[in-house]
Amino acid sequence: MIRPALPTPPWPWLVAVLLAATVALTIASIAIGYAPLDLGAAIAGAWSGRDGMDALVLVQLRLPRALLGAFMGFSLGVSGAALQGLLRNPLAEPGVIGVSGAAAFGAVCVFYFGFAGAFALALPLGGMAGALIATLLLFRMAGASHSPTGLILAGVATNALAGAFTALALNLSPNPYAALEIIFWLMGSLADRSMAQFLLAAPLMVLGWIALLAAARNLEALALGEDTAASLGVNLQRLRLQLVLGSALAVGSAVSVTGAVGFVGLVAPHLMRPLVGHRPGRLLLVSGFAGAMIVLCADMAVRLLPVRPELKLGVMTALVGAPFLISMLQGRRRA
Amino acid sequence: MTATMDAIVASGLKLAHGAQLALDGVDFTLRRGEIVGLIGPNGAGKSTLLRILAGVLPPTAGQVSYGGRSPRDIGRQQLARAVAWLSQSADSIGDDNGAMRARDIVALGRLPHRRAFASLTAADHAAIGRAMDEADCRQFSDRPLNGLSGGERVRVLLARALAVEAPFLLADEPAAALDPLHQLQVMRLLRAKARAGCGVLVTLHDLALASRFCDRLALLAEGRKLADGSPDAVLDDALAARAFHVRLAHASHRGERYATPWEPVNDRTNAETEGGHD
Repeated sequence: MIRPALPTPPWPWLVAVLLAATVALTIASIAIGYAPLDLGAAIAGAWSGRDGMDALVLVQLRLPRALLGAFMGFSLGVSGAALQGLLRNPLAEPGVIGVSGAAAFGAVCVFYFGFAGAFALALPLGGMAGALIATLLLFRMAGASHSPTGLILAGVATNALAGAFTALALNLSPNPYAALEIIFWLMGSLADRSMAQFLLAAPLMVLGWIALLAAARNLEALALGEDTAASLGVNLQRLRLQLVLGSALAVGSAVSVTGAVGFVGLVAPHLMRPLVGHRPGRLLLVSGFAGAMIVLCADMAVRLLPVRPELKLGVMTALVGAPFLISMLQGRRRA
Repeated sequence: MTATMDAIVASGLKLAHGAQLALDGVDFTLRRGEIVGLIGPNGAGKSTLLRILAGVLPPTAGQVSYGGRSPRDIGRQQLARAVAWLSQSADSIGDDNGAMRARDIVALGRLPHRRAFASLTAADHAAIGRAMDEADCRQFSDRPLNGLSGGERVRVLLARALAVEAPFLLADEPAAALDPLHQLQVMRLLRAKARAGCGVLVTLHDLALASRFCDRLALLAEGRKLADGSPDAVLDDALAARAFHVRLAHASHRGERYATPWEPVNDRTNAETEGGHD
């Protein structure tokens, strides 16, 4: 079968357009909300330090929600592309290495032991501790294994462990309200997150992005298989460490603040692949933007839809993501 | 650096897969300017030897030196510039990455020459173009790899290896999936590379191609090197019977000698025709 050559847009233009679109969606997300907000007045107020109502809504509610959405989406997208490239598996996503499950469990522990109300950053810190432990566990299990399968199996085991303990916490939860609180948190949401939480997670996410984006060229060589990449001078051990650690940082810190949001990391790379000529290296950055845009759109949708109580972001992405996955699989069968 | 690298010398190479030895004490030398055919039956250890020489697989015992220096001395990137390796199959390319365009695949061969975060230079583009012309695949530049036939794909991957422009080229079965025309083109190309000063080591199952195009043959069987020398000396009846369990037919055409497998050693049905050729 001869496939037609697909024209791909010039790389700098593609990046510029995606960046502009992401910024535009972030601004739109700031402008949309339950209370009417005079953006101009709010910005002027916040800028001059007058804490009027508008300025408060902007800085305390809208801004963290929009920024967190963009950053979390970027983390999921770029990690999804990195892991699909590393594991050379189209179904890989940030969830497969078990770090997001463990981050969620870390946060659940904070709920369970009642620290959630103790201080503002208890939840994200618990989540990060969970992600860190999972990453160490992952490397301990995957060890020096050179095969993607070893890493996937270690991820499955980490996920299973985190899932089991999360279920245990739910099972033993002191009262139904505590259980409900945990369940709702696990669904993932951007609502009611504070600027402090965003500022805690953002530097870690950015650090993760840098690690992932710096691996672009070596990731591309991996498309020809591990041995060929090694023959081209790629240090496979270091590349694997860089990608897993980068994903763990980006996704672990994102999930610690927002809860697990599925499908974004899986779907974003698939949407972007044709636009970069299927090059795994270039896919990283554009998948990050795609992830950010998906999350921003989904989060605006949950606010605009006339459904109350507000749908959780994770529910929204799953409702849209699962049918997309099904149609993708059907397209694959036809191809 | 690579100017002084005149030969790859391997000594006492062993590779163990559990209790089994894939290679059992192999010595081998590849010099620049020669094309050497590595022959032997399935499972003889040909690909394993190539991978060890390429620095992709560390041997269980023994060492490889490149112009007298160990791989550790040379460093990953310098070694990658000095030795290009073409793997046996394109199967390792996954579904999604398989849709990468041919030219982007060939460009990966420039990786060892590129500085961090720098884009492809004019010299890189020139090398990519040369490699695609040599492997006769420039016409597929913009086609996705998984839209090409098996043989076309091999030519793109060969161009990827050529694009490294390394002084040593190790090619694992480059001719196996090709049609007769492209088999001849590839073997001529590899021989021309050797004449231009490259050290070429190529594994082959086709004994006619091996005997005709290679300066020297090395015969492996069950992880050991049985012979290493001129094609005439290596494709001798006793050695062929021992390694391949076949009898060979020897012939020459326009002054070039070649050998081709004729019948299994224990095949009685054709015994009476023996001696009718040569």
